Amino acid sequence: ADAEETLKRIEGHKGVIGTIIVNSEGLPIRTTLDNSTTSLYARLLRSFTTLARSAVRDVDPQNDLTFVRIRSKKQEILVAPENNFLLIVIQNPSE
Amino acid sequence: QLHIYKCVWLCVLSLQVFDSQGRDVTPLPLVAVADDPDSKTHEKSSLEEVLFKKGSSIFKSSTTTDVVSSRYGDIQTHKPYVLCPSIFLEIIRFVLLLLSEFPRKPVDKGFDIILSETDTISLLDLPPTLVSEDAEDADAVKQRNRDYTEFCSSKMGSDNFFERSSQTLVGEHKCKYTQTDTNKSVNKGTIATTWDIYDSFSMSNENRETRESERVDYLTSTRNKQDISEVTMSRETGNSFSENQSNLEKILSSEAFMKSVSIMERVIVLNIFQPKLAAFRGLHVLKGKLSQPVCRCKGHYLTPTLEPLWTFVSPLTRGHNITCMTWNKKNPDILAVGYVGGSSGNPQPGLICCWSLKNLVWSERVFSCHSSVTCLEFSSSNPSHLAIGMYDGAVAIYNVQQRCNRHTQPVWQVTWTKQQLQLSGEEREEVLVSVSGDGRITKWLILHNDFNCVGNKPQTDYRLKARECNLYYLSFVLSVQSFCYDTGIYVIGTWDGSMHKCSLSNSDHFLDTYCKHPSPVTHIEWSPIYSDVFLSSSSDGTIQLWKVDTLNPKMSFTSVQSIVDSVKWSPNCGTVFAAIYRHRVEVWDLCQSIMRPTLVHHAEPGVTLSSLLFAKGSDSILVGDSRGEVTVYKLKNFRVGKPKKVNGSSSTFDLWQGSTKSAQIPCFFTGWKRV
Repeated sequence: ADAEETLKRIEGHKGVIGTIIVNSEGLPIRTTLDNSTTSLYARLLRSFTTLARSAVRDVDPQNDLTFVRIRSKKQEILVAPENNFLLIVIQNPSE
Repeated sequence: QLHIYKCVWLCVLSLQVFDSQGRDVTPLPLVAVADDPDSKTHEKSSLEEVLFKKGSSIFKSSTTTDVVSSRYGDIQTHKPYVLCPSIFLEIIRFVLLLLSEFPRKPVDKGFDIILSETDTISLLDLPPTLVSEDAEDADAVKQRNRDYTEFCSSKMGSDNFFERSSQTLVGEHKCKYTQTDTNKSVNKGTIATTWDIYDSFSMSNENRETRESERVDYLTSTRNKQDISEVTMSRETGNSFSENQSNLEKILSSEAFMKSVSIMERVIVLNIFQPKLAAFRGLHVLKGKLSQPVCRCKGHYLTPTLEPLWTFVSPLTRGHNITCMTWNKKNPDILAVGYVGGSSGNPQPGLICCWSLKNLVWSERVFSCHSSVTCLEFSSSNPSHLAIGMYDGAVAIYNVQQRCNRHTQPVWQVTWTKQQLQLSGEEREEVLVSVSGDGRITKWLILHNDFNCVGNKPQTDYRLKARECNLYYLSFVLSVQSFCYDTGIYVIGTWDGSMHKCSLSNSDHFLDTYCKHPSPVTHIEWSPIYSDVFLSSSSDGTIQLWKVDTLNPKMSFTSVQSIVDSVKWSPNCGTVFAAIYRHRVEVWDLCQSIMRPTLVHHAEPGVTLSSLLFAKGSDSILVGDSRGEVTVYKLKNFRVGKPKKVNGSSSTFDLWQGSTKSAQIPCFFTGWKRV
């Protein structure tokens, strides 16, 4: 309901290239990009998020990862990690 | 009922044991045997014969035993055993022979077996080489020792002995090879990260049953094995579509997803609007791909302008006229805007939107109320409480922390035409004062403060009680009353243009009256920096600057003949204020000029500007208009003074340093003192 609307709004924002939702096994369950790109992003970002979370929790086990932003020359990858899913948005902010 | 206390294993040597398949599995001897000429008779000889005949020889031979590794082939020949352990063997064999002679004795009769001990049999006797001093032959031993030492010492030079070397033969070594199976080894390692240890430890303290499933989920989600994921990727097309769908539905409807998605939207919006927000905050704006900062020409004197930054608008609010805006007291990034429902004059449900600076395109909270909102303000002691006054005279308090679109309690339904209220945060108690069109100024006392939203029914214990009804004044009390925070004095403006000073403690009559405006006073605003100065605006198009003590306005500002809807001081600079006319915004800077506004901004044609708000900490103003949009403008090229509170009369001059027109002003300001 609300979440769906917000997701649609996100997809319509300026500069947003695509959104991917990945479930806990690493399978993308909803995406606006093509299959190959989606699977690539899902696989790579899954392990990356796990590593990031492990690093954060190693320093302080009571801490936890809430958000990951990877800013590159061409775009920015935003990952919201949760226990049972992963929300990935790719945005080109300087458009 | 047979108990054998001797070494039972010896008895087997003369017996043969066969397993179920008939193989000979008699245990083999561990000790080798030496041949004995009397071997033939050994088996049949009686025990007594063995014992007494060979007694002495048996004892002797025990010392010459040497143990050789067993030879497996000897068992078939039944070699005799001369060694002492064979004594026990014989005893047991004798016993068993006895037993075998009575194979079928009836069990109930029983028979006695008497076992008796023999004398102690010495198996090994190694006498010690030490002799006690008290022994009989101690002297003889000593003598022998002495003789020996003498002999040894005399050996050296005597002719009886000479040295000779001899060679020992060392036998050839023989290599014997053997073969075994290799020991299989498996390497197993694991990494225990700090968080893993912490998780396991904290989980072992809790109930295992409930946590087991969650732990598995968490572990599988965090410890991802890449090859497994690849395998599942390849099976992706084989997965049933319906299972994915239900999974998706479940995730989409979860709370965590809602939270994630809203944070994600905020991040994206912040990315998009980053330059605007940086300008809002007064930071360096980075332009272009290579982040070259825009060079500011400081020496250049540019005309002050209003640069539009962004607009708070959403599809819900389009078309609604904005009546009021206010910032949150605790979190200055939250803005509450009240909207009129439908067109004016037509009472329809009003709307309140709470906007946050983190999300500029979508309001985080939307509340609808039964009538148009005329004024609203956040409380300072409970920063999440928003008090609103509505067109039909009702006062309500909303708790903006909850997302449910239900207002908490309609406090008092009154049937007056206009009611405006404000919430004043006195130090100790929360006072809600409302002014209504019927001439009553009501102070509300908030009694209880429970906001419980249990399930779908809000149970609130929030009661507002009308404390005092004071000041029956016949004409409409129209304008907002401001509070002087220090002393509890407030000023109200009325429909007929006069303003009255009243105090909270004295509810019977006015303290003072200020008359200047011929037409209704629309807005009164106290200066945030000078505590006894206030501005008033009215429909006659003038703005008057008053000081509390004097009954005549100190200064008056006019620019156009148009209704001044609102006037607000800037929180950052003590001499700047802005005013909203119907179709323009004017910003006055008293340092630069008191005759003309420093900055005039016209609205777009067809749009009426209705409300105004300054942003604290940032030199921006927010203008609400009749289209339902709140536009944020940045004041560019303003000389912003230092926002410090006045501490004494000497520091009034500090604010005016550098001003070219200060000659006109000091005579005015020096008379002011801090209250």
